[in-house]
Amino acid sequence: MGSIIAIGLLFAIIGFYQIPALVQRKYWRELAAYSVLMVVAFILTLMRVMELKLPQPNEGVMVVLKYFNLI
Amino acid sequence: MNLEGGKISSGQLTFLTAAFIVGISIIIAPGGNAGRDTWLAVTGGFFISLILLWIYLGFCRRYPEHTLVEINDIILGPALGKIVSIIYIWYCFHAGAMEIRIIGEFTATLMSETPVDIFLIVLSITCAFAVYHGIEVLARCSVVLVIMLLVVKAFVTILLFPLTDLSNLLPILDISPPLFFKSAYAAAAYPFGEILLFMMILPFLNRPQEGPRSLVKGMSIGFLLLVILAVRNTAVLGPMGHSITFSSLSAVRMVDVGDVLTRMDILVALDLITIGFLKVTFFYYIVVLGLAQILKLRSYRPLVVPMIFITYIFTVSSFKSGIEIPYYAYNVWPLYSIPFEIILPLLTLLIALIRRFPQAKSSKGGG
Repeated sequence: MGSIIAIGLLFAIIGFYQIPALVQRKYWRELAAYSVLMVVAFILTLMRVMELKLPQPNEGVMVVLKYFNLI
Repeated sequence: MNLEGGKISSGQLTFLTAAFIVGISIIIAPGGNAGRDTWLAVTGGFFISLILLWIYLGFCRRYPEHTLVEINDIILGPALGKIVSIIYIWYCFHAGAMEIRIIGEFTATLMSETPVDIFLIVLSITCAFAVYHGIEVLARCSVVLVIMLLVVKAFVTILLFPLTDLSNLLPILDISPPLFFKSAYAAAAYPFGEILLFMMILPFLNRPQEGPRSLVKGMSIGFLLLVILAVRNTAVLGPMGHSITFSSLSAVRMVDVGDVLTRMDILVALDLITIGFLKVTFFYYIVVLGLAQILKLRSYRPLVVPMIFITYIFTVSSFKSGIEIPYYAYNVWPLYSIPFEIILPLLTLLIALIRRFPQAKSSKGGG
């Protein structure tokens, strides 16, 4: 539980420093892209902290190549 | 759209290309499946990749002011172009994540009580810092670090002369032709074929017409280094040397000059971390810049911090353990690269030929 709160705090601090700069310059598109990526990053980091199964692109590649009998 | 204010010179591009080609191939020899003929596989791969480079430069010559993402937009139209660009960016992202993981695994073998995560996080943050400051910083770093690499490599190779036995290279080409071709192609796909990604930074040259020549020069420097390394490792370790995971490390560990100059393997780690840093930063930069161009942002800098986390998670989840790396690098990655390095550029070229190389203005008409 402590590590989840720590991750939340870390993301909150980063957002606190970066979002005002974007708002000040009226970079709305950038802000949208930044927020989406931050949410994805937050979810992935939470999954890592909670030791859930993460997406494994290499496994997927292997499965596809094995299906076509290439390796 | 002027996302990158900086300009780099063609000399800096040469060094950056050399660093990119050498990269982590210092320890994972390209074409290592060929055993004692690795150096021939590297040579073959280099010539295969020159053909690929010729295709890539065909685009750059027609659109000297546009990056790969913009070229895709112009040739394939806005919708399809964006999809193709995202595929390239994914490839770059995946390659960069693997690279960080390999550097982390390698460092963890030297400092075995520290968790790999520490190295991955530190490297990701360092690279993000360099990316934040733009391509100029990266290009200037590359000059210093590549010169350092050349000096260190020359020093270590000279110290290894007494142990070098060139008869270990004989008999030449004692493997089946399919295996040799496979190894040569593996070397062409990684690292030479990734030169494709330099199409993203060629417009930032201060004299774009010198770009192709710098690329070829840089590739040749990297190629010569890799051949020297492959010959040296085989000659020092014998024909079975390539079954060792990190053969450069084992070869350099054998340096022993009068019991005084020993344990030189830390120099390999030094080279790997500095040159690997350059390569990872380059991948990282391309991912962030490409994303910003796809989304039509005015600055790529807001994307840098979130990408640290995403890259880190992917590096952690990409392999279950470090043992999988050589198998993946030699057998899976070359096949995985085919669509990105060969099929997509050829298809784009075909469409460009049919559409007679549309210029930037006509892309808005959508015809």
